[in-house]
Amino acid sequence: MTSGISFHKLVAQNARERKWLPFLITVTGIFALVIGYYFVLGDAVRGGIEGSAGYYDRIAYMAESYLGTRSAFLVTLALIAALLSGYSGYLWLHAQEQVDFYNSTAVKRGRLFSAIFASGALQVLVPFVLCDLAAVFLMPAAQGVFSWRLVGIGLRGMAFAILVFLCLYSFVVLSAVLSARTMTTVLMTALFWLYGPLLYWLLEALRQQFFDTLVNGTSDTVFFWLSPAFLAYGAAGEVLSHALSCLGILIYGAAAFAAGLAAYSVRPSEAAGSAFPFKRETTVIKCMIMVPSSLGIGMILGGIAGQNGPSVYYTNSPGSAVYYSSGSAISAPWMAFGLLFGAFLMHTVLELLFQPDFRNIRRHWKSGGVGAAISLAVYLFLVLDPMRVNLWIPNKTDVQAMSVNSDIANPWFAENSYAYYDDEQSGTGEFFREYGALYDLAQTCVEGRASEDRQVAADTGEMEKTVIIGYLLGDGRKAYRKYTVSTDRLYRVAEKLSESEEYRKNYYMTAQLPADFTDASVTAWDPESSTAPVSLSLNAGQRQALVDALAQDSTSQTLTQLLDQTPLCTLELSGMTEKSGHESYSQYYSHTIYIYPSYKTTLAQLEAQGLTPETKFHTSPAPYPTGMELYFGDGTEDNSLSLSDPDAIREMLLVLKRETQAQADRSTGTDVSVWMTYSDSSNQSFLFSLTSETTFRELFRKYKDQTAALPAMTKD
Amino acid sequence: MFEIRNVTKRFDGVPAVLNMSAAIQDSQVYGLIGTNGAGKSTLLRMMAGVLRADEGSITYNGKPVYENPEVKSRICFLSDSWYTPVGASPEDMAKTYETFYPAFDGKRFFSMLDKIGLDRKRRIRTFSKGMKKQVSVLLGVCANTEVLLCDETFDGLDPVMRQGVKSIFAGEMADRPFTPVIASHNMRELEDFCDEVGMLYKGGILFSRNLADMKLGLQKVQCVITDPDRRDAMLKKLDVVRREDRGSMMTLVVRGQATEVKAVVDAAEPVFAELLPLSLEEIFINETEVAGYDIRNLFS
Repeated sequence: MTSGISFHKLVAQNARERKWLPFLITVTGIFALVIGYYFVLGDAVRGGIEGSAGYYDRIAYMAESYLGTRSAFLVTLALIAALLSGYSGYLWLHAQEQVDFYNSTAVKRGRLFSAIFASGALQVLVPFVLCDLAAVFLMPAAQGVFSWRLVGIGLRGMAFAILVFLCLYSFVVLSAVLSARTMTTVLMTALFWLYGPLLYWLLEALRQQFFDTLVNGTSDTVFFWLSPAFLAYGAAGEVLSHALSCLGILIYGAAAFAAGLAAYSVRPSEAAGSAFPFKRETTVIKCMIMVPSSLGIGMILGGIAGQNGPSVYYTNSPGSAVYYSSGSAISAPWMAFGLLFGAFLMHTVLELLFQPDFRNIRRHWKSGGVGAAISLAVYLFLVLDPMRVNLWIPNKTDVQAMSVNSDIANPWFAENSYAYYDDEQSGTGEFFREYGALYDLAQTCVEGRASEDRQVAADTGEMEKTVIIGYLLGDGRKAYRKYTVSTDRLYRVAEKLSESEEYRKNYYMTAQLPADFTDASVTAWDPESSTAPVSLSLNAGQRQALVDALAQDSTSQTLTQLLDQTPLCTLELSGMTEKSGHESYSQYYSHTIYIYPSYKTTLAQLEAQGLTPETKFHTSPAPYPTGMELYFGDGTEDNSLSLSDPDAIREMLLVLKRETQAQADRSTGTDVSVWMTYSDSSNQSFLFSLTSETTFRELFRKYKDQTAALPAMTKD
Repeated sequence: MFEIRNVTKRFDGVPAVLNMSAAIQDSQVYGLIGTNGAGKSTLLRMMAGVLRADEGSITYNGKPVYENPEVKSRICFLSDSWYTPVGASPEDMAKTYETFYPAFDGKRFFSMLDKIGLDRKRRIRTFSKGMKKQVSVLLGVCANTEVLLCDETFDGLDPVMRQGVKSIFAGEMADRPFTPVIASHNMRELEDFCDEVGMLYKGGILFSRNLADMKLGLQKVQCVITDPDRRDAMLKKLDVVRREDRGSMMTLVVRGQATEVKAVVDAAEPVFAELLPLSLEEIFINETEVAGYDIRNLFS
């Protein structure tokens, strides 16, 4: 006698036991797919004018969003169907009498598993495919917009939905096999679908809080890949590459099916009714949930009890502040308390979820203790940083070259911030070899963090900026660290770095300008008035010549040399740039670039267009200043200064310009009004909004002490 | 033949079956008896291939049962809590058994169902406990497997139905190779049913013997002997397993053949003497005591 139990008989037998499933899918399909698609197409048809441009594109867009590969709706339907089919097909594993029956029959476990899997899939997919085909072929015809393009969209969407369903269904089945009660099955499904992204976000929050110098080397979309459900929604939501995410969904599904099959083959039949079928699974699952949850609860409590506002470290040289933390600080004791409280809370909740028996809370204290101990160990690792991850800096001798985020050099060149990223991981620019000043800055930051000399910097008035520093090490490895530093200090480092031609060529934004701009205009430099821009009409050759001239002129000078000049005018270049990724698209850009008097080649290019600085902008040759009056705050004696020494005036102007560079933060600083008297007896007033005033105040104090107060001049 | 060799099965570290060995010959009714928690169901589930033994082996005709469809196709298991899908009728269950037991005889099932007056289209969940047991036994018999493992299946059957099942089993055993293995905690139900019995106690098997042999080897005697010397002489000659005195009436359970025992008792010139039939329960109580277990301690 042989078993003689055919696979299709097993599939049919399983189908007989849950006839409600295909019925439910059919009814839902008729309403959601057929009728729903009819109305969606109707909306699209009514919303456009037949024959007009984009009419069919709009219909196709609507079809794509509803029944195509971009349909989050289809993903949701697939998700619900996966839950229904998976649970109804495999929850018998949790009932002893059913396990006794099925596992006593002459069917190998793998065969039974596969037959039930196939049956559940067919009971969903057959009615779904029929309804979807009816929708794809008949509804466009009913709305009078039938086209093979729409059919293609629908069929691709159907294939995508089937793939998503099979993947998610495999995970539900795996959840049922790896658990032995309905509640733990639901918990397990949630783990598979949500755990990865949630853990990623928690780790990212912990990294930002405790290892804030580390640069997140992953992209913003990485968490999508940590969950099959998120991956499906990411693919439908155009967040991820569709082909790549479909491959990911396929791999996820195949892995889940294989894992389910393997787990079912060794699953002990006596497990039915307990929380989990496998030894130690309870402890593992419990710790997987307990550890992140208790850390999260600890962080919340520590955050509530923690101190707000930035903390600052001052180096020995007066006025040179280096920030070590710009955000709110967490209270370590409260976090520890919250963590232990969270561990106990989660232990209790999970035990009751696993088996609704209060005695288990005490009975299973060991596994709870393991979870709490791991949480505590992670917490201590975060707080104590025994491996000094957050304070890491390579030996200077090991560093070949360094890089920094490119936008630190921008304020000298443009009104708006512009960064070009050549390193996808960190957003830093090219590596350069004359990095001394940058390394010193990094070292100061590390020393500042390690120091106990910390102060809350709520009232310093310092402006800050986050800088990413890259190290190219001797063995070719790259490492990145992130620090928050005062803008004043950062810009002085940038000035120092600009003494290197390599740095200038790689970091001056004017050395990287695109020649594909479509519009160019020039506006006179006059902070006090609004001069109308003069448009330029340039051919391709002239555009290239202009950006080449800008690159040549700018990269021949250090930032200090540029600071010493007042721009003649600004040049605005705008156009569209092609962005590549999983989907290419065009993005508008606009650069407003300062044109300094030393930009001889550039000025020659502008002159060729009929724009002569002498005639148009009246600023060159510039008369030299003979007197300066400045005042700030309430403008009283203590807050005003008069200078007549040209060198002193020049030095003060340099500091004021430097400390006004971070244009984006202009509104937050102190306003300094300046009244200038020039050698041609002309007067001009300026308003400097300081973003960093440490050096200015030092200089002010120096000249205030040296110079007898001159009669204050009235404000213009 | 089922062969159980040194089988152990633990649940959460607690042994349900401990180092058990037994052999069940073909074509006999085997009774598996024992108190609650003795390991009867666990043993049956291992014999059905539902559970895997932690240690030892269970074979049928020399082949392992677990994950062996070829062997399992010869075995049908009716568990204590027999499974019926929601809303299933006897007719639906027949279809289910047709799928899983290719030799299932549907015609015979429906014919037997009609004979006992059960509606084939009625939902099984609306049946009484006894009616459900009847359906399950009929399905098990009609599955036409060589072995039918019944876990407490006969508990709840009325005497008429029990008698009917006995005759069905007898018919099956006469027509084809058929070995019913019946587990029960109720010894009276198996008393006139089994050819051989195995008794389980605390996960181990105390003994496994032919019931007729056991009955032949143990005698229950009630007698009144007024002469103390003759009485003592008689007791010396008998292999007394148990003795109870109520007034002058003495009740003895002794080992030996009936004729031999009767001759010894008669030689003592009793005022009154009678050989009484032993119940299965009495046999087990005595045998367990002989095996070193004091049955009174089970419930103390």
